[in-house]
Amino acid sequence: MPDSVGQFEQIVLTAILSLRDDAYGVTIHARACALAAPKKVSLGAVYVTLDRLEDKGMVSSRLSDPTPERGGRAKRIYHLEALGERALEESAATAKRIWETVAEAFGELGGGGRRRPKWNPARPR
Amino acid sequence: MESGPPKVIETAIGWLIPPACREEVLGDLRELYRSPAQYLFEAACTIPCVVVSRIRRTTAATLLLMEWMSIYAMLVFATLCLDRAALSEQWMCVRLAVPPAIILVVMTLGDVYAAGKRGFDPVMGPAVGLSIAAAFAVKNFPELPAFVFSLGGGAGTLIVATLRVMFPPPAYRPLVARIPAFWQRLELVPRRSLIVFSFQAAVFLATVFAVICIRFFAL
Repeated sequence: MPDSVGQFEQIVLTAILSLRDDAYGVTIHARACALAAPKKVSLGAVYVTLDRLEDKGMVSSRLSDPTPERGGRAKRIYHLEALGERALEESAATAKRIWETVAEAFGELGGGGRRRPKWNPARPR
Repeated sequence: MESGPPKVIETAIGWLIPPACREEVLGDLRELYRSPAQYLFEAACTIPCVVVSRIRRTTAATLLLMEWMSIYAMLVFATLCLDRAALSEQWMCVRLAVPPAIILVVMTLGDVYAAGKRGFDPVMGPAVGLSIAAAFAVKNFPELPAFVFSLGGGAGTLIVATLRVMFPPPAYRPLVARIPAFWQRLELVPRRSLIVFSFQAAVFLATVFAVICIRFFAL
């Protein structure tokens, strides 16, 4: 069973999944910013998380060929491993269950604003 | 329009980034470049995170504690045997914990910035750390005789060097099995380091013998 992943790790894993073969520092950071909006995400935090995920075995990396727009420096391309895919699937399933429970408690959440569940101490459990 | 940061700034920033991830981090920073100020700000925010991540990958907390305890125990033991009066100075037992911490900080940063595949040299690393700690001790521990510090610190760093030969930093360990490196048939320590290590051990043992003889016959 894969280790549990935190919210930011889920964001980074999702970014790598969506970027496919173009997942490296800059693109992962940009996608993570989009996913985490409106929270700001720093490039350093992305690097720390990528290292942690690599140590857990959820992602793997390799150096690509150097490119002139990066001053002749290589990119480190990240790939999602099977363990990372499973962890992301479990996180998505958990999030879906939470969403369904919240939607049931609050009613329909689309168009019309959020309604709080009415407080009724006498309501049977 | 500039396509990249000034060469001088990029080189200086490159020195601050650990070699293991210098290529990709510098490339990413260059790709995000808009102005020198923005580049410096981005680097200032990114480099500490990268260094901390590298420390986490190259340091084993248990091993670090063992190394600190080894040096501290040897320092206290040397002071107890050779100059017991120094221990009665105010907070001396607590202040003696600082040189081992300095040695370990030097070795930890050495592992982070090591260019090779073995981390900081297992023999030279503790020796460099001990030299810096000795300079600190001369300034801050005038009541502690130099030979006591040299003896205790030397014994401690020898133990630390042995530990580092047996247990390389995590990022540089062979991934084939979780056993001490010397159990595997690999070239663990270059021949030159073994010779230096043996020479240091011989010098240290000769010093201990000479000090004990002088103390014994002087009394």
